[in-house]
Amino acid sequence: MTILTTVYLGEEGWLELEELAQACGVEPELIAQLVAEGLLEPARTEPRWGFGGAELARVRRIHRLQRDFEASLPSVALMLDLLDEIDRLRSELQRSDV
Amino acid sequence: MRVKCWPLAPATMVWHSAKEPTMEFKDYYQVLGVERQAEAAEIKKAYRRLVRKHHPDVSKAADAQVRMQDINEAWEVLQDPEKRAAYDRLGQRWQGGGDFQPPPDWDAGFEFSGAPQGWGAESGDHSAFFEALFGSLGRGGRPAGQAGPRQRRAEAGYSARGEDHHAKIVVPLQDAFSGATRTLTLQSPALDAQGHPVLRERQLSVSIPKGLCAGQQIRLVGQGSPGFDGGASGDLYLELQFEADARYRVDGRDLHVTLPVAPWEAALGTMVPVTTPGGKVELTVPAGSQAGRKLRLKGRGIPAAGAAGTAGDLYLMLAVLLPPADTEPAKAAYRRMAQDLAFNPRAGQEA
Repeated sequence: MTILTTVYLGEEGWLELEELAQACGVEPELIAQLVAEGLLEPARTEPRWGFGGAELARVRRIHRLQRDFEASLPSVALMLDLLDEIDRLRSELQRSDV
Repeated sequence: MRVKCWPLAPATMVWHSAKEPTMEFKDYYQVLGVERQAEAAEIKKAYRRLVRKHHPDVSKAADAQVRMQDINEAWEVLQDPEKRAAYDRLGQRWQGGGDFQPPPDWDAGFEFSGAPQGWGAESGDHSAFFEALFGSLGRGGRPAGQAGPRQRRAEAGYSARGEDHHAKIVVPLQDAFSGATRTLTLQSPALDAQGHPVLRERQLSVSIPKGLCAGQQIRLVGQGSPGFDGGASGDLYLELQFEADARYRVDGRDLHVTLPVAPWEAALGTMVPVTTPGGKVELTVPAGSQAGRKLRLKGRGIPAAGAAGTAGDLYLMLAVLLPPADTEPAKAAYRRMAQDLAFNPRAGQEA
């Protein structure tokens, strides 16, 4: 069996806008809209937009929230903020244990 | 006293869709917790409630994603009067048990039109059972129009790229330090020579470079769905997660661990040999350290992934352990300390 070698997205490899859209099953216009509305930031901007693993996970999450709750982008933005806050509080809780 | 290296557990691979190896009949009414006679409004209410509870972005349960897939699938079928009627008819004829194959004429008289309402079918979101009944695999004899984007494009007369897939893999923390080669078993629905949907397994060996941290993604070009009519294959994205580690708490690239020390080591200072995931080091515990003090070993956390990245740090939190006073000499030593040291631990608390 051949062994597939890989690099980490966002460290040594980046996705272009169209690749990110394809990977998330969304239209490229949505990616552009997410960037325009501040829900998403490219990991790098030179020579052109590049997206990493964190952005991939974020767009998939946005897509899931939009789809499963029929949520508008502003509501998704709020959900993301709240989910981030919960994550932060959870890890703080964990930190106080160790 | 030294920090031991944690035991290495065998790696576990989790394939994202967790599709059952054999195809089982899915009771969509049971999934949504409604009666078979339930009205549309009732089904919608049950669906909405379950989505809020089990959504993988909200729920911390390990099986949230699989639950959600079932819930979405049940909703997709039961909210559509045509699909629901066909499914009901199938349910009446299904005797249960064993491997499920839909009877060849199960959907006779039904025409499934248009894309599923409310949400776009995303690759990997459906069980083999669903794919067998309504899925994008079901070309020829299967309901038309229910195809994924790939097939719709293909039907319009040109080749199309295969869909991208996503999977999670769970690896031991040590992999971040040494890198590793892991073999994944992937299951995906496909059609056999007779046109029956089956689950195909294939194995993939992936070299994971060192420096991974939780949530990182790697991309395997061409390992997704095969293309249609000469189109390129899709890609496979793997999201990496660590197994829970008995010793280290992982925070991004930083590691946190407790370092037990004796009272005199904390008080007088000492050199402690510490085994870190990256190798052994001599650690200086400064004199006058209190319990809870954090010592940082810079760059001894998870190594950088790329040339441009920075390694994480290793934090050691001192825990001062008292020797038990269970022998006469030990008791004498404590008594001597009490006499010799004018020490009141509650000095700051007195009114």
